[in-house]
Amino acid sequence: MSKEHIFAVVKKHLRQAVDGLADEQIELGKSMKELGANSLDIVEVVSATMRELKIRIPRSELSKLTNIAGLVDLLGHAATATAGQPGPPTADQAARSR
Amino acid sequence: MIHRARRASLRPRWDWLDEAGRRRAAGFLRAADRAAFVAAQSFLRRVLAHHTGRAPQALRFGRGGRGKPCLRGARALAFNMAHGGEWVVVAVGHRRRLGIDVEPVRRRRHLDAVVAAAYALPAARTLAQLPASERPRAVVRWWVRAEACAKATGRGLTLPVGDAVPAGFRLAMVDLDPGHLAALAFDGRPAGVRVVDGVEG
Repeated sequence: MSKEHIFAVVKKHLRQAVDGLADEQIELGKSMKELGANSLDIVEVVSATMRELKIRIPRSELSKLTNIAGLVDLLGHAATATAGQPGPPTADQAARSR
Repeated sequence: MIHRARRASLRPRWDWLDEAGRRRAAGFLRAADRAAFVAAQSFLRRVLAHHTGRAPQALRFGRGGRGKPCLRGARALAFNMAHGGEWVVVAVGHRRRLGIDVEPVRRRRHLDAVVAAAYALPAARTLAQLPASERPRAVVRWWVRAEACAKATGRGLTLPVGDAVPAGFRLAMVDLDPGHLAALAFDGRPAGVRVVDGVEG
């Protein structure tokens, strides 16, 4: 999963949460507050992005974020960590192991 | 005491901002958000000027315990400000720890994702039992109460949001209008909360 894709998803949810925000206005170096988001808007953007990308970030990490670049990086690392882990066994694998 | 004002009624005084305020204002991308920030800061200065007898532009801010803003030369005067939607609210007290938050109530496209990510399980269960039309308001009610407590203690909001109130603190909801919710958290003995419009009411 590329950081460009992650950024695109973040931008989509940010535009939905903050009225009148244009795609080209959303810069990585900005915080969501600087783009007009309130605290609940920020939670909505992050949670909707995590749900769409099927990525989980610990709540403790979220409070350390200062700008959108930090969020994209965190999501990127989490996506890489998830991709490297073995998933649950498929039904075929479970049957062969018996 | 809580001073409340509709943002549209406030005049942003750019000339009253200190260096830190100017830096924060410059960080906002959109002019409307920048003006809203400056208007809120201006109202805070007007309110504190009223309580101290000093000129608004002469007030100097510092950082107290846990980085909470304080007024230099008037440390006994506790204050906290929040702005959200159409309102700016400033809570003022004497030798107390207090925190205030205000948020607009509106429908959210991903309300269920917000609750799943940020609300404690008991809160999420309670919310799930409410009619869908009542959930946005309930989500905001929980949020402003948690934010007010976080600002009062100076510890910052820690997720998940629930209904726990820090030991020694009390909560009061603040009347604004049907489209907004605000909460005040304060320590010490129970006190009636007086809400005034503007600086002098």
